[in-house]
Amino acid sequence: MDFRPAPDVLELLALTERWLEPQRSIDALLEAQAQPAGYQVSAWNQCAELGLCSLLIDEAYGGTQMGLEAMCHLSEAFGRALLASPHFAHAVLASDLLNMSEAEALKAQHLGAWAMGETCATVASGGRSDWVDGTLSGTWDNVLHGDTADQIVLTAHDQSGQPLILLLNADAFERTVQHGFDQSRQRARLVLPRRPVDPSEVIASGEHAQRLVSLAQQRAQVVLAYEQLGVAQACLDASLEYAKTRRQFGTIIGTFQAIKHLIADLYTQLEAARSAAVFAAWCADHEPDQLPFASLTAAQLAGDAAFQCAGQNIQIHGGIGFTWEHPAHLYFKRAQSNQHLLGCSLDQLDQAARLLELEGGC
Amino acid sequence: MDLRFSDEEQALRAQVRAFLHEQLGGRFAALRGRGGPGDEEELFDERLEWERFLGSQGWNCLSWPARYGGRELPLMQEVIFFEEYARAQAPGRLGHIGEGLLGPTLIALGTEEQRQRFLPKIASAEELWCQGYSEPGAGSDLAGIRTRAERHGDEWVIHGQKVWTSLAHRSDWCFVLARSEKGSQRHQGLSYLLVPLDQPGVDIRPITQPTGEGDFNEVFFDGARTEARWVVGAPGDGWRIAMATLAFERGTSTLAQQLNFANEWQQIATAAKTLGALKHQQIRHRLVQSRMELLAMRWSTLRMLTGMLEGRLSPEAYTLKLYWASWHRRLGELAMDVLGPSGAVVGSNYDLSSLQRLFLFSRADTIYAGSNQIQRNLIAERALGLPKDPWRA
Repeated sequence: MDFRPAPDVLELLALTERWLEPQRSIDALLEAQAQPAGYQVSAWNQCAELGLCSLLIDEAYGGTQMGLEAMCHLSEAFGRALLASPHFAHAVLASDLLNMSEAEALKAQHLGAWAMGETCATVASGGRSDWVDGTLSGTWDNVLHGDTADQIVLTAHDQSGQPLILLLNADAFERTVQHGFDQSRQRARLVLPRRPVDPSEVIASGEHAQRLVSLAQQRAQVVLAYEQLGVAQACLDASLEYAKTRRQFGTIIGTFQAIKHLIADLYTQLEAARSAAVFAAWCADHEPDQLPFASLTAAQLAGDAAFQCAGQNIQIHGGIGFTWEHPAHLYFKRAQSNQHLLGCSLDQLDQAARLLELEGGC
Repeated sequence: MDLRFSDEEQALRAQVRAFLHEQLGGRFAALRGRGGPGDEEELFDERLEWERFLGSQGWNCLSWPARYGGRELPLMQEVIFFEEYARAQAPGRLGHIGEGLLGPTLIALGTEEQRQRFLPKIASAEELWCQGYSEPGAGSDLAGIRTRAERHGDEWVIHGQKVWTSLAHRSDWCFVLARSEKGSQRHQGLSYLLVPLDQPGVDIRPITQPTGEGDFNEVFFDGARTEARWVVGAPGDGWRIAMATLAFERGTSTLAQQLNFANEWQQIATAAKTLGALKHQQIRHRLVQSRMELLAMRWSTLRMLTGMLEGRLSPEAYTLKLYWASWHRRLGELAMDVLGPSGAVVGSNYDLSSLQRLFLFSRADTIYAGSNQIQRNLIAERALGLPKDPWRA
């Protein structure tokens, strides 16, 4: 049994850390968030050039097929740096779903360009599909980086209410920027004017679509859990640094048990979440039967750990932690927002209850 | 990353499973599921016979050197043995203090004479051991002990009192931390002595717990004696030896413990269904949360064990006791909330249901083997490098 990442993953991570270094400072973070796109376009281009968009795309379609575990480690690094980027929406949500589908024509048409970041995609879900005489319209809110995407993977419903996944050009929509409560993730409202749907635009439908969405969701939850671990770790590291240097009452504040015990609890929670996430990443690549519960566990525990670490990081920093100029609030907003990124977090516990056969009532 | 068990580990697992299935289905069938919490006083002679049988078949002290009765198996295989042991509902153990604490201490720090005298009889379960550390005035602060030992000729003479001594009433020997240098303070001047319990100078009295039962004792030493050669390490160096013993608790029973936790969780989930508590979303969510944390616990343990195999003492290992003890205490609370009003009644002689017993026992989990408060200090200081409390020596 060996928990260490493979050498090629470690190599990729080293490369990534070097690339992330200049983007970590509070100034760099705020500058990226102030861009019209909500991220630095030059950084996105570099990200693509480094091959970081290709991990979940099969080699047959131009990807590197490094697997979900590798993507998880990348995601953790991005989370620690609080990178503002369409990477998650593009390289994870959209790419993983299309790659796993059986839509051969669409895969051949798009995955190669997506792997190189030549075009950028995102996923729109949770909206309302409206059918009239075989034509579709609808509104989708909260679409990650929907304003700058080139393609939209649309999770809609057909006329009988069955799941329907489409791939449309972004210019088929009327798009309005929605600034994120999490300043590091811009969203958009997408309005689809009434139009017919061509079969060539369909990624999957019916039961196949349902399975695809479900599996893509589980895998995305694991990757996002790792991002949350990165957020949590960055906050814990900041808390530790502050506790070891800040002086009050004639001593270092890390001497006080109130501070020590708080940090000990955060560390304990983080490491437990890490263990769950590691197992979930393994399940994604090797144990599909165990993935449903494992992915929910990783999402729940990592989400809570990130939120606690980020929130208490503000607390430990005292007043200075509650200023715009300090990065603590940015991590806090990312941690909170991530808890509902893939759907309401409370649904996760209900889903898990069903998996454990804990149905309500006698 | 590869999270599979190795071929050797899987082979051992299969071997243990088959062996236990055969034995607990045959001659020792009456012991299945016995000797656990609330049942520790039962079938003692039969369980001792079982452990002696295990020893005769080479299933005790698996990681020990062969010349002392072991099989030099790697830690992970020992863990797997105990996991299968729990899965087979094999009876509660009696020799774990000798096997897990005293034995490794003697292997690392004892004299060859001590090893030859004591280790084979631990492996064969011929002799049982208990641990004499805590005193009424020295719990979390072990350095405050006052039990004293004086050299008289070729013997140590011991006066004092130990408390919370599990299995003392069933044990043959006790390893006792005592103050051997008059006037010494705290960690200085202590000695680690091996003391036989069957003598006039030793008086053992049971302590009753909130469950109405007790596996605990007070042990009074009033002129108790042991041979001079039964000091481990040099006289005065006892603190170092005592700390080494604590460090030898390597997590061999962690997966076994978690298997029992899973069984308890299932019992509570079933009760929730039967009693209608599942209609409350809060109960469903707490059950889910608990089950998720148990999954995390398993992989934390395996990460820790794998880290230790590679010689790295991982800092996250410090979090394990705090995590499982707190988890178990929450599980006990959930159990009682599931029972609701039906948990308000007990049998005659304060007979508790298993869930009521779980609720009460779990209040001790966050106290013994280093309280939650001590654990947080250890995590903060040793794993994370935060400063010690100002009053610590």
